[in-house]
Amino acid sequence: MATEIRSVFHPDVASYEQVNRDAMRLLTKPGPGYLALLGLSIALVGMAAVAFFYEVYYGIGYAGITNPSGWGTFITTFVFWVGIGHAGTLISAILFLFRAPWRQSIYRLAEAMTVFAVLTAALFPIIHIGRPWFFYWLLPLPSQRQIWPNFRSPLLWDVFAVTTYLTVSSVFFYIGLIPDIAAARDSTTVPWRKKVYTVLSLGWRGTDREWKNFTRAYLFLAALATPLVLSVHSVVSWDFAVSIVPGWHTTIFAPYFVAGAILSGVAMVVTIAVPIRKIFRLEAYLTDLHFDRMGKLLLLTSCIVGFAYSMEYFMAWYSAELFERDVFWDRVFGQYWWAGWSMIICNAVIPQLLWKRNIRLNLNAFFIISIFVNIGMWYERFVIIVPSLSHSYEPWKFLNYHMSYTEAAILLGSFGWFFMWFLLFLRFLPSLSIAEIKEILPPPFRAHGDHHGVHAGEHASVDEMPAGYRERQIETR
Amino acid sequence: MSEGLKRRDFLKVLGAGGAGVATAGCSTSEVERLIPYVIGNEEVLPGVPTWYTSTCRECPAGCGIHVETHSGRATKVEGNPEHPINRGNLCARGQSSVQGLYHPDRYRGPVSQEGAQALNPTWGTAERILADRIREEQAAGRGAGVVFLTQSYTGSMESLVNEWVAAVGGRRVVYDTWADQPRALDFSQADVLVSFGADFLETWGSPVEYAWQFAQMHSFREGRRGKFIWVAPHRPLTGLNADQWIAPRPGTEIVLARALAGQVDVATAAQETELPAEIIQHLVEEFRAGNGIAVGPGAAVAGANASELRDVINGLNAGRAGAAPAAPAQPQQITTLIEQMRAGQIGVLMIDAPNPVYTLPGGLGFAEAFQQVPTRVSFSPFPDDTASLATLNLPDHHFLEAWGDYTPRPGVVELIQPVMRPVFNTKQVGDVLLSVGRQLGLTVGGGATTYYDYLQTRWQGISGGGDGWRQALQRGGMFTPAGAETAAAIDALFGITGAAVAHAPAPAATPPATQFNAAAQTPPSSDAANLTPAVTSEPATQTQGGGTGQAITFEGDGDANLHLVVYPSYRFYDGRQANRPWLLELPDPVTKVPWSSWVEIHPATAEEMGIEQGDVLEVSSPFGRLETYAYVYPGVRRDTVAIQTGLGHTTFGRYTEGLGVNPNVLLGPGVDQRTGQLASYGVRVRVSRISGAPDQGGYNPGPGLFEQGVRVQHDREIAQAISVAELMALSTEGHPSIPGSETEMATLRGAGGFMPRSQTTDPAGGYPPPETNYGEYVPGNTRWAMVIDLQRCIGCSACVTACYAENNIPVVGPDEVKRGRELSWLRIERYWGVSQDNEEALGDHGTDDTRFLPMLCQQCGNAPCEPVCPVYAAYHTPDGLNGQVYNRCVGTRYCANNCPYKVRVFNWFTYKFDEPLNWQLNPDVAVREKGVMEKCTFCVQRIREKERGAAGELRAVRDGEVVPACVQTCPTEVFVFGNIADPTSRVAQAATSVRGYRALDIINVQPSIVYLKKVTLHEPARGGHHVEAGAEGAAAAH
Amino acid sequence: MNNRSSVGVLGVFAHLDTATEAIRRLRHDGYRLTVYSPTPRHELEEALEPPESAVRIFTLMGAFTGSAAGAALAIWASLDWPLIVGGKEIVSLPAFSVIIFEVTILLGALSTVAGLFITSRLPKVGKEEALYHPSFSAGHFGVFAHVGTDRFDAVRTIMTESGSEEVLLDQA
Repeated sequence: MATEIRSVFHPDVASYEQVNRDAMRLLTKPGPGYLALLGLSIALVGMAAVAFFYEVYYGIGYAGITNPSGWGTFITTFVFWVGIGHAGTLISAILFLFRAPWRQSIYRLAEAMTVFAVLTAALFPIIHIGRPWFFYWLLPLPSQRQIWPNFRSPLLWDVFAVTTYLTVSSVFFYIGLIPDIAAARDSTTVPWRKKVYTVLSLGWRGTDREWKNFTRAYLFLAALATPLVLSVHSVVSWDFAVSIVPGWHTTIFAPYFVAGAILSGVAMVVTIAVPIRKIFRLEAYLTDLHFDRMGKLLLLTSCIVGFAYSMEYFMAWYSAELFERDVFWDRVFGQYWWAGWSMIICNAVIPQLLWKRNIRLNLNAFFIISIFVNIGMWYERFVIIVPSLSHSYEPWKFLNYHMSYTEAAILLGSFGWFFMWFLLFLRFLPSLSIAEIKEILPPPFRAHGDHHGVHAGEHASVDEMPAGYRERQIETR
Repeated sequence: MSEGLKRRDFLKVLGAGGAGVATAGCSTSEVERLIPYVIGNEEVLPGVPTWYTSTCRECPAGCGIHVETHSGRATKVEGNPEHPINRGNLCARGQSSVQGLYHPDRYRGPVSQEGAQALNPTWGTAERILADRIREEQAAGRGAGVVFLTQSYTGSMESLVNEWVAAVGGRRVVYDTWADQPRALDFSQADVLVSFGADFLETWGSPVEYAWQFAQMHSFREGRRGKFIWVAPHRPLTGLNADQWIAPRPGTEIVLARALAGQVDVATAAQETELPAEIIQHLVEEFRAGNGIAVGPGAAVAGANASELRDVINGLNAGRAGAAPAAPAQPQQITTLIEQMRAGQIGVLMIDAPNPVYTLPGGLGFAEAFQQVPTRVSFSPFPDDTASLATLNLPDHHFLEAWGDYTPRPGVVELIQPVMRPVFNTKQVGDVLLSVGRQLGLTVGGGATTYYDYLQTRWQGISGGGDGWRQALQRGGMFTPAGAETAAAIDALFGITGAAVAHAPAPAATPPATQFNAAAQTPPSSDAANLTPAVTSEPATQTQGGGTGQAITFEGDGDANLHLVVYPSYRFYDGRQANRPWLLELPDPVTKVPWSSWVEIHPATAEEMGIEQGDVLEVSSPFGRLETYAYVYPGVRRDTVAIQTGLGHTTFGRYTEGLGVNPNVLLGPGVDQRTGQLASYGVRVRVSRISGAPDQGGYNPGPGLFEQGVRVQHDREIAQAISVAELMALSTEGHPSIPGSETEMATLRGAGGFMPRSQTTDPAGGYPPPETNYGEYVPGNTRWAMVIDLQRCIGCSACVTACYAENNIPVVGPDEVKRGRELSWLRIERYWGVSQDNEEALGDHGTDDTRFLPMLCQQCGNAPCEPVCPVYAAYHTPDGLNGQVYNRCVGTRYCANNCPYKVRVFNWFTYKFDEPLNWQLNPDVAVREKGVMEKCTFCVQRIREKERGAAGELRAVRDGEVVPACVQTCPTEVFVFGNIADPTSRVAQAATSVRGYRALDIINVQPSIVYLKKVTLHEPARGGHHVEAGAEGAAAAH
Repeated sequence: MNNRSSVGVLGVFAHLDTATEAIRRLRHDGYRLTVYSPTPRHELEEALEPPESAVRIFTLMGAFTGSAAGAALAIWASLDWPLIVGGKEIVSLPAFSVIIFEVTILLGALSTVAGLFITSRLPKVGKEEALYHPSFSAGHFGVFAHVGTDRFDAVRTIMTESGSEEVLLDQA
């Protein structure tokens, strides 16, 4: 009497073929709801484009930024999206290195989110500069007078960090996609899709040679992406930490920003994964277990961020440094109290609810919490950037910042831009990692003539399996 | 941008000014005779400026000027260094005269009103219209009905006009706002200076000269420093610079003056003025000890007894070194004229006077009376309130286009010469009179065909022949020591009224340092403010002060409980400069409010009436009412409100129309009993709150009052002060580090120029380490640096306007200013000398320790702005400047974020210069486009020019040869600029003062500007402390 | 026999253990195989005992090249037109370390991808090396033996005995 053996992660997935069928289900003809969302996103992008060209034509003055607050919504949103772009690589690369099997079904979504978030973020340095038509002067090219850019400027570090991160995460994303595109190629019946997938899959057939090199290459890419993802937000944080502005000039910034980035990223993954699971009925793949673990990850990073906040305020008080003190006083009781408090409550307080398991597993609650964290993380960047600038050393130039309509339009447009790409991705590329999910499914064995079943004891190579995989065997006894 | 755009703009000027090139070229008659100041020949090299000497006529002071012209276009006005009055300095109004010249709203030519529509006749026709009307009047036997209302001329114009009016058989009426104030005083050596409301730093008498005298008298040099006491119900800029403010009950200033003179005993005076007796006692003693001089009365406190007060003051100064009596005012018949106008007895009224419709008290109702005159001729070059009511406009030249002479004071006769072809089809008054005279068949001006001929013929007498004339033109006139026979001859020739007494050389009295201990004990006082009750509505008991030197009565409705002070504007004088964008954008030196009017009200009174800063108030008197914004200001008595004149024109061009309010409408017809001078002091008003402050929040600020900056330093020790006592103690220590010794200079270079030796140097000692080379990577190279003496700075902001003029800085307008986007590279910060506490700043003593601090790019050796720029737009030049390459900038604004002094400004838009204001642009400086960061570079274009010149002569640049625009114009010579790496340079010497400190020194950016602490008589209020102390303060405040 | 041709026998297996058994037996008889699988399985690797992948060489070389290139770019470009900013050294290695790191990662990753493509002959164009069946990307395993037509029968028997559901012949 053989017991059905299923993956502890995906007990509802019966066979390899089912994975293909379910993944392909997303690639069918979209419904009206989808089209409405897509249309909305594109409309937002159009609105932002209008606002942007308005600013280019008449001048950046139509943004609310002033002297002294030279940076405002644009840089805030830039940092926000770069932060969002961290969870994907974290889940796909770091958890891969840790051999955490629960990543398999979620990481494709996260990685797509990463690529599009960074794609969004990369727009803002161009949008925010005074003469966007000269943005290429920031690239490492010599001017006519053979002057190269200034490699000592944190902004140039940004250029390198963000472009590298965009390249590497896109490559990582695409490499992981190749076998699944091949699967799509083999299963689709739509002629044009077949053509496109044939080209994109580069003629992948899943031979032993391909798999051998693929797994190694993927491992190395993960190994490279891991330090990269940690470095990117550190570099972004140095934009601020390297300056002398009170409230920016802090050594805590690099870890603080990275933790914040992961917090916001995971929150965004949840924000995206919950509706997708519901709409596309992917309960078999995005199981409670996944949300449980993401909830723990969110909780952890939220605690780290909360600790960083408290350290900031403590140091401001403990250093007895006048300028620092005034800035942080402003954030809590000054003219920016509203921003400061929404940051603390959304990022450090509300996520504490996730200590309770049933809240982690209550997707509606979790979804709402993730929304709060998203808002809170935008405010975190706002609180870091604006109050520090509008209240720095020179008292004569204390002046508050007010967001303008063009800035608001471009902020909304950035969400439109992000979701536009994401929605297109959902319909045209496999958003479940077909091949990798199969890694944690029980392979078909003929032993005892029973398909999909086997006595664990008889299984030849249990002992060579990595921990994460053996776990399922043991648990399913 | 930089090169490209600069060249293009330069060519545009050339193109636009074809006439200008012709001018310089040149064939036309008047221009051939222009005498360039520096360059001998008439040839104009493109790019090389030609300088002309002339005289500034923005106000009666008559400062000598040099005008920089490029290819026949005047671009900048600077003081004439050899001029006895202003010593090469100039005020903000003088700096802005080029904007008057190129003002887009000037009349393009003569205008005549035919019924409803306005015609643009030729000059010939226009003059014929005038001539015909005069002929009609003469024919009708109403020759006396032809009245010429003029300002107070001197010299050639005076005689020509008198001759002309006599020939026509008409009448001349002189009306001028404040031309009768004495311009020949010398109080530079005074130990105690008492001003009875005389704002001699702003408008009174000869502001630029007096500012310098004040700085001499007030600045700390070899253990000597005079004390300045301000007597008035309200503190304008001059009052803020006083060491002590004494505010007697409004109207009783004369009683205090007579107490000083010993005519009234202290007790009576105390009872009359409601001042504590000891204050008066102390004042009297101080004034009599040492060399005390009194000045006044100022226009703000010129009431019905103004002439008596002036006599008392002159009596006080009699025998005192350096003081000269004021010229008695010629009685004004303006009031009688107005009556005649109403009675319709005036047929032709020609006006060449300062905008009477605006400047005359509303109580006189000049405007209505003016309408009764059938032919109203205005010579004003601008469509101001008066000119727009005229039936015939014969626009005068701007003084930079005209010939003329002027005598501001005995012994000084100045020449005015055109520096360029007239911008518009205008004609100067002298020429109009001559040609109208010809049409009337009169022989005036000894048959001279043009005013220029008339002028030159008259000058043969003094300048003596062609070459003398030429030299006089180059010099800017004839300057003789007053009292000499020639001076007397000249004065006679020019019919100068009220010849001055001889100036005796001032004895350099050096009182012992103990004087300061005495002074240090005096309570810093705005005593009246906290002693008087908030309401003093009971009328004074004296009869209308006639001849007895009594206090004046304030007229007003019973419940009108606040005394009104209408005081002259530093920026707009009597309103004549109110159409200049530079001056409109320049924040008022005291309130720091640009682009608006306000009524100053004491915090206590405001609280009583539930008024807050920015609220809309109604101010009404029996003669008129106005609505404007409240400015809560502790520098005014509790029972007084003060309103600045200058704004509120019905018509005065696009920039100022509908801006602010005109306080003159509140004034009554009161006059000085003895001289018939108009009395602006003596009205009580009712103030009521209409509504709260308009919402300033959000991206679109909307209308309302905007005060730039902050009132307190928030414990930042930006502007520091040191008490005289402490300073004496320090200076006895001797000078630990004289620059020059090699080790010292090593440290100096190591620090990006120098280490200021003062309490604010880093405790760590030789930081940064000697081997690092902050800012100086060519050892021993030039290091440009500046020393700014806060004790000399009076906050007048002339440097700011000079910076606008020199560096093509655009004006952004009120809304952008409210977003903090003004582009001034140099700003004057005004701090009440208190630390963190706004309450303290609003207290009665809030204004007692006011600090003015010029803040410009500090050219840091260890500049935070430079390394953060990704494209090297901000970089360090070998001579220690923070260079800013405009056409390399992409506008990340990171540099501005990282600038601790917030002196980098950003071009949020491409700002436009209305044609022909763009003719003023300096071709040596790039015009910036949108999206570019800009900043002060110590006028690098001037540095390079001098370096080129020196290189051409195979020599090094001399100390003091390079003069940035701000340094050049400063009336009190606050700045010292030069190469700090040269220990013998003036700046290197000045930097070693015991008062030296560097702003925000604690963050170690190694600025190359050293500030010298302000010297206060009493212990300075907080804000001059070290950061540690400040931090505790912050902790406490938190 | 010609290695470049796709002549041979393809066995399609529904189960992993049958496929591995076929592989073991065919390798024992010395046939050269191409094995298809929907997902990488260690059982197959054990059966095939392949040599170590060469991708790691590419990664290492790329990373080293990146470090060198980043350092060279930053340092040379700064020296090419030396401008002092903020009193910092012309060659400020602490600042440049960021550049160096990023370029290291960038070139490391790109050369890894290049290595993957080269070693596994991607993208595949032109003549197919071995017979393929779409079900391999879904749930089936495939074993293709590169053999001449003369040995077809032997191979087919091994395949069927091991449990192949379907055996395809490619005569090419």
